[in-house]
Amino acid sequence: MSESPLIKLEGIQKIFFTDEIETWALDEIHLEVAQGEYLSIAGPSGCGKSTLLSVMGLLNSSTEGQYFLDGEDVASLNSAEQARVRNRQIGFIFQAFNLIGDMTVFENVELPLTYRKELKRKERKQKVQEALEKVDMAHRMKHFPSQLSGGQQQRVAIARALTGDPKVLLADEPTGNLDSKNAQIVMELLDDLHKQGSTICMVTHDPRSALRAQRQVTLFDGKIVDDQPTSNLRLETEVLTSLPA
Amino acid sequence: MKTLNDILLGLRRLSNNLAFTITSILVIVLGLALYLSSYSLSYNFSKPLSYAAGDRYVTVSTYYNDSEVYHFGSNFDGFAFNRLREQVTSFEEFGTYRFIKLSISDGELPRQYVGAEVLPSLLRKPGVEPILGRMFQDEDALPDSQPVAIIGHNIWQNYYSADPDIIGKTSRINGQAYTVVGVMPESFDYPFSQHIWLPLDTSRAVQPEGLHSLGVLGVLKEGVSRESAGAEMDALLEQLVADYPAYYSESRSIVLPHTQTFVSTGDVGQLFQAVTLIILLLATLNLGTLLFVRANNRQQELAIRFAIGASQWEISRQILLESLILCVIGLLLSLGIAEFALGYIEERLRINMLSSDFPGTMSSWIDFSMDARAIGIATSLTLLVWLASGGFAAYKATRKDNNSVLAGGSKGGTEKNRVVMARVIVGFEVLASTFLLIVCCLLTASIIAAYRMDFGTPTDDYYTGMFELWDPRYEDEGERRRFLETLQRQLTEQGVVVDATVGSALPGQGGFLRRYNIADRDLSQDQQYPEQTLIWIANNYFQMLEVPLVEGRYFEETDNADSLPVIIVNRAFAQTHWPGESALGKQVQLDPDNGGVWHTVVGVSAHIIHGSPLGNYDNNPTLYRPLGQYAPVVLSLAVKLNRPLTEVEAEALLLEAAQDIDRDLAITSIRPLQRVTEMSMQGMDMVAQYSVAFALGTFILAIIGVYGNISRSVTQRTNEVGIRRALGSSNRHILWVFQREAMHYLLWGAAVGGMLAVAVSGSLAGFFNDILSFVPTVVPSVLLLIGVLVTLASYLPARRALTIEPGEALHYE
Repeated sequence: MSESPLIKLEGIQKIFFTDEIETWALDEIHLEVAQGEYLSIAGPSGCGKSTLLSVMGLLNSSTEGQYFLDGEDVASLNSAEQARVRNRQIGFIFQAFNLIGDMTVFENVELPLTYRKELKRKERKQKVQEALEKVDMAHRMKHFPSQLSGGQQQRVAIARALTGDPKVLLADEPTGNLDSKNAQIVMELLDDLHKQGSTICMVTHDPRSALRAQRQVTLFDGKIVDDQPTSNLRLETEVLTSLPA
Repeated sequence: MKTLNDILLGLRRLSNNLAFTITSILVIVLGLALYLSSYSLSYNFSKPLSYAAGDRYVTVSTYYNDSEVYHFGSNFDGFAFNRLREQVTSFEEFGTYRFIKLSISDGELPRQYVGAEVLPSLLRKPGVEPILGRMFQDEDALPDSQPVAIIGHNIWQNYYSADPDIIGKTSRINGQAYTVVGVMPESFDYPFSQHIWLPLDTSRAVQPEGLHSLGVLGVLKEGVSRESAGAEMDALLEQLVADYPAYYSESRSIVLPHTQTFVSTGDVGQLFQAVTLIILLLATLNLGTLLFVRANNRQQELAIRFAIGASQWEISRQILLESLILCVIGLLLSLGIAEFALGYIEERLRINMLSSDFPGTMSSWIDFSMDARAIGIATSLTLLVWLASGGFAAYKATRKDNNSVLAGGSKGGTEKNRVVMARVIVGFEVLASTFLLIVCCLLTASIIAAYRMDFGTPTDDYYTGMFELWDPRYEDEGERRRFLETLQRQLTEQGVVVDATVGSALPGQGGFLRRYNIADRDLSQDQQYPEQTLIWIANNYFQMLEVPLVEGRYFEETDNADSLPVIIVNRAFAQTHWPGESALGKQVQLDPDNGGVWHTVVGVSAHIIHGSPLGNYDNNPTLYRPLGQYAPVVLSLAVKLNRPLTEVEAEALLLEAAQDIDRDLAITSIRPLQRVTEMSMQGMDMVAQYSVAFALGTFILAIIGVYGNISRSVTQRTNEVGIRRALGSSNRHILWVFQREAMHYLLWGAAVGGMLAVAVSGSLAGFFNDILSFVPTVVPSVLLLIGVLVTLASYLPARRALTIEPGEALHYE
């Protein structure tokens, strides 16, 4: 990687304190993600995948370490500046969709844009329209989330993540609440976004989803224990499946 | 056994969460106790009489079509009554009576009692037999029969020391000899709370206008409704007016249950009933919310129960049992508190009645103790509250996705229905709280202001009394005038009395309404002349009460029966009829329907409040006539003292002065002028206390309900706070989102609740005349209070949600 990485984590630690017990969710994480890269974060339950994604998304602060996003030390920003970063540079896709139930599809997707004062209503409308068209949900923009299937809700959530043209998309188990058919649709959508140049970091414990990424980081007990291109993993999988039982 | 175990478990859980338990019980008690006491007040005023067919005893009154001014009870003359009695068919008894203060002077000092002249058949109707002697016969009322009286148990016991030989003895009543023919039992308070009865003869009223001030009391025939009896009365009254247009003006009848004739909670009672119903609804809503929140907090436990095989009914049962325990405790406490409040009101009413101008015991049907019906209603309401609140909580709890709860999270997002429901509940809470607080505060403010109102005269150092000159010796009006002059002179000779005056009404006492017209104008509308208060006063009345003149002169010695009829009007009267010009020398005709005498205005006085300051009395035009030109029979006396006296000393002073002139004359209602003005409030102190109780109750419910619901709805959206922050919203923006929603509630509450409250309060303006003048103070104050509540309720939980890291907020349950 000759260019400076889009994301650079240096010595990130995250410790949760419950009564007198310290839980090390993340331990000395060093990670770089390049512009346009498609990264999957894997590992067993409780290994710290989602915590790592939360730290990358500035949803949780780290206990120790530095975090540079596009060269800027975002971990040291105050909460208002971090909010600005989340709004303009990061797009989130959650396992539980996290749409706001009493807002229509349009309003949900428009929500991040409403925090940008420079955007006029007409511009916001156009961006929302484009985002919804990308996920093929423009025809349901007047519906409420409860009127949609799980797959459709996740597509709306992706549209919401895309609408602000973020530098990176952070997806936390994006297919975790979906059936296989809808999961397939969502993953193909992420593939398309990647092909169009999006940087994606995705937490998943589904090996098939993980293999769609270019690179996979594996966590265990809060530490990165493996970091390699998924092409290697695909090869390993092929070798393993070709061996006689 | 299982139910018992569940109850014990419920009790243990409630005792472990005392804050929730106490709050829930407080909510129930506030709603139920206020409703129960208000309901019992209204219901007890309308209990049927305990006699046979007691629910069919009705009072017939009339009111004028145009003015809608009610004239309860004493508004028939003997001629009209006799004619109606001959023609009417809806009644099995159609009788009449007349209130009268009767002075018995058999002992050292005369005593005055409230009595009634009553048609013998009407007195016999309830079928109550005297404990001594006999009941009236029709012959007792004949003009040439021996004067007879029946006395009440109270007089027999206290005045005659329970003399067993009282029957047949002669008693001096209003200076006349009457033979006592009967003693009625203690419980006999008929038609109201009379202690002595004289037979009434209506046969002498052969011409209209004879035998005034008759009340009509009847017993409806079985199956005849009050409405149909009223319709028949209307037809008969119409015919009466057609036959005697010179004497009777167009009017319609009103047939009321007898027990509601004089003491009724009326519009205020209905308003309070409505107010307490809304409070009860608020309480139910709040309880439902509390139970729902508690069920939500136990969702994990309920989900585990579900997982290990509990049915939805078994899960619901646990919630319902706990809410039932709360409701039962709340019911018992409410009954106790309502009983205590009603006992307090009854005692206050009893004291008021004893010290009223018609002192007497309370009628037996005014009994506020909680009866089976009230307890039944309380129990039914409790069941409703329980089913509505407990049922709501149980239903919501069993609709939860238990798999999701057990998996440690929901599917995320806020359901639209839940949000809408929360908004509806919060909106109703804000609206109802705003409405109730404004109405109660306006009522309270209006009554407090009335208490502080300037009656137009200083009230310190004045003592008052009342007397009636019914004795035949005073039949000649000149004799009455001479008596008054002697009484005033006698009183001023006492060292402690600075001055004494007499009038048909003092400040705070209501005068009679008289129709009038003024010269060069015809004030009649639809053939009706307007009516205003007329008061007969001694020449020194204004000077002694320190009421200044605006122009002209006071009455003088020369204003006598032989001189030009003169009149003093108050400033309101002068400004109404002669704005911008002097009223002096103008002509006022009294009783213009019958070609009454014209009077010349010789003075304009400053304003005095006669009657209650709550009505329009504070601005009522009033007319004054000199006692020198006519002395009525019923009068009030006021003395100004040069030093304070105890009530006993003041009573001795006035009674002895009267005794020196006439040993048969009783002076009653002896009390300071300050007390007279207070009494003019007609028990409004109780209304004020009730309003304060309602306002306090509403405020507590608002704190629990408005604050609780808004903060809960904000807390529920902690997840949304996480989403918004994840999407880049600043903390300030998130706080603003919630504040803006809170302001929407406030605006709706102000717009709908506020306007509704002002409209409802405005409808009471006839009774609380200045109620709307407090709108500019009360409405902003209430809105500020609710505004602070709403702001804090949204700000604090939103602030709390913002202290959670967005990542945690996203997974907040």
